[in-house]
Amino acid sequence: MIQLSNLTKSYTKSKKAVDSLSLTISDGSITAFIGPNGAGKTTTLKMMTGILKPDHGDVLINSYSMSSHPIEAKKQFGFVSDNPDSFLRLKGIEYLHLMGDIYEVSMSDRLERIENYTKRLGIYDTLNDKILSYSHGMRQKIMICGALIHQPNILILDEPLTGLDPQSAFELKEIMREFSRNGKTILFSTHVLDVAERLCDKICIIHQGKIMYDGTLESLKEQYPNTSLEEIFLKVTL
Amino acid sequence: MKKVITLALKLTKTSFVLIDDKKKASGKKQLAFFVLLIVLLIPNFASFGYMTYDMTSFLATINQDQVILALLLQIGVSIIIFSSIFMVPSYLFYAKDIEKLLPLPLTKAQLYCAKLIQIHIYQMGFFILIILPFVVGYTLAVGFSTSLLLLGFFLWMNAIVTMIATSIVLVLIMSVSPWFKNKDAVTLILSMISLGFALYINYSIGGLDLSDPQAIAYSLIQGQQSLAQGFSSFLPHLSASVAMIVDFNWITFVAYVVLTTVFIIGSIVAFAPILVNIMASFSGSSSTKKMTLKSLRSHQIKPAIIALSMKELKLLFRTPVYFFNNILVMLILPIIFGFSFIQGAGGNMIEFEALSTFIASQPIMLVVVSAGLSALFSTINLVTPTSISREGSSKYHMLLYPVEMSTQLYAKFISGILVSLIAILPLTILFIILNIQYIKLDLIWIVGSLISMLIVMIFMNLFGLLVDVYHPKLVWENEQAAVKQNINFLFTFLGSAAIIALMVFTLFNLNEIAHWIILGIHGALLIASVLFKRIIETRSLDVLIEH
Repeated sequence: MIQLSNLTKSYTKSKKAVDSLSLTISDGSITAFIGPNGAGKTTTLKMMTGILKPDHGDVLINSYSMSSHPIEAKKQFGFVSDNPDSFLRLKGIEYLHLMGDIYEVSMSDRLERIENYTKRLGIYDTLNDKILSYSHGMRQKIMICGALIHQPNILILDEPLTGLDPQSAFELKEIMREFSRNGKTILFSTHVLDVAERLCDKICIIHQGKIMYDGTLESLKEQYPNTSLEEIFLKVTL
Repeated sequence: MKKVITLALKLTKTSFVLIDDKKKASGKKQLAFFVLLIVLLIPNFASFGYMTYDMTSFLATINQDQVILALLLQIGVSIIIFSSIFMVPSYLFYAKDIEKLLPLPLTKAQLYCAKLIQIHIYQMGFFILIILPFVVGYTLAVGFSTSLLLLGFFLWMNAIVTMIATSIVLVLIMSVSPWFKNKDAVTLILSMISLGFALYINYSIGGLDLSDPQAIAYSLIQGQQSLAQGFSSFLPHLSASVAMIVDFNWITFVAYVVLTTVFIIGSIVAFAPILVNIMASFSGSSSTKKMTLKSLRSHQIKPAIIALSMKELKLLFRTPVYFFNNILVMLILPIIFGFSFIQGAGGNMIEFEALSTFIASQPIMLVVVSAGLSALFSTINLVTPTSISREGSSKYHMLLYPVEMSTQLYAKFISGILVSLIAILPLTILFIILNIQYIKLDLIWIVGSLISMLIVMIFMNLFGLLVDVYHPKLVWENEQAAVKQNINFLFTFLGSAAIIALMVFTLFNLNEIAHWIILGIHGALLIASVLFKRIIETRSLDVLIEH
């Protein structure tokens, strides 16, 4: 479970990027975090994962506070950033083993997971190549495999489908559904409303650093009958 | 043309950032750093300027001062070639901005021109920085002359021609062999060529007694083992330019200008389409080696600190810019120092015995030299003062890992220590062998020197690490900027210089109590190291989150 309480962050004195944001994401759910550019999605995800420090408020990940027990909190989740250009001179396999070492994954578990996820995402044969030689989509996939290597209870993804080919996008969505079926939590930000509509149990619409809607898609549609999600999104964030 | 110049200036401005300050682009801060940089460069400028002044003044008395101009031309052309080898591939073919530039509504010639202007601005900046003290020294000695103006003009034209020629040669090679599109391999090869070139210059200079202007002048005039002869044999086409400067005539000058201009315009028109096509072909990716079950299993579980240290070292060794600036320099330095030491001692027993007597008369000197070398080697490799900067946009990984920030920073510290040892260990072993065979100092001094080396190495690497924790340069376009355009080096360099200066001053001026003060300095360094360790363990996470 992820609990955000009163989360606030300002980059400038005049404007709050995230403004007293409170949110609870329950176990076993797939939640989409949607909002226009500059709405505060990435800032919220960064505070959630410990990359940014909130000005006020706290984040609890499976009851571990990010401010007082950051190491325990960080063990609970895997995170995939929207920028996969990291460790370019490491080979794919070296990156995954590095993640395995950092998250203290046993050799048998890590080999099984590496084989499983890299084969499903179609990068198994390229694991001996340096990440530098990978395309954007392949880099995204290796980062996803790295985030999954310790089988976290929570998976947080920032624009995960960007740059993925249709087959890999399908596989990733399948992996996300499997995760959810096993009682694990998934939170991802996206601009693709269609994906959110088909994949998620719950959506959070964020605008100007505040949560505009937090609930199931069905109840949102009940509030706006005979309206497409795209139109609802435009109305909510206007 | 206006579009080209605007684009070129924009490219120049965006790809050269000395200080990364995301929060506030403070002009005053930038200015302060530039002033600091200039202040630090003054001693070097002054010594080179004075040397040139001295040599020129002497040569002027025998009416041979234009030999200096010939020498300046040769040095200038060498700098131009040296910088072209580095800058043309970096900014023309391997720059990240290429993908953003290609879709712009510009002709291929305009794009090529904008890139050439960008490179030329950097090249001339670098060039002026090096050549200025020589020019000032020459002018102060004999006054400003038309020959000097001509020299400047020839060098400027030569810089443009060399830059274009380098790009054409590279594009022709790349057209023939796709292997040359491998940025890492090409950069490494070009770095090796440049290093060979630098060592050649060093070797040429090695034949001269720089402390004696008369000997230099004689050597230049005679052309025996001289720098001028060395350059002339390497760059034979320069003899015509030298002759033109010394014996100017308008017809040759106009012919030179016309021919050069025709070459520049002709090359741009003829090669821009091929060149831009090659630039466009760099964004592809390839996979070659198949994954096997054996290679998948060929890994041992490691504790996080070991895994992260190994990651640091792999990236340092595999990234050409880092390998060249952080590693290779440490491999070469012991060779240069070792040779100098053996050469300086004459390589025979009598010299070593004299050295032994000299050191034995004041053995604390060994401790000071050890501390000085340790400070120098720990500073010059730039591993710890750029360790956070090198993470660049990947810094967020450090904040994500469920590993204490201090553990992650110690992994970087370990990599810094190991790289420092690449240079320190061979020299230590060499000295221990020489001591057993010839010098025969008491063991206590050898142990003391080793402890001193260790204390200084730990202090300098912790200091460098903290400098980068508090002042990382995280926004950069290519790895070169993370290391070479990083002001952090200055801070560690100043720290290192202060330690060396303090110890040397103590040794030569406070004879009676030198032992105690040097011991005190080591104690202070140890206390400071403990303090740095404490800051790393308590403050680093908060500080790094803020950047």
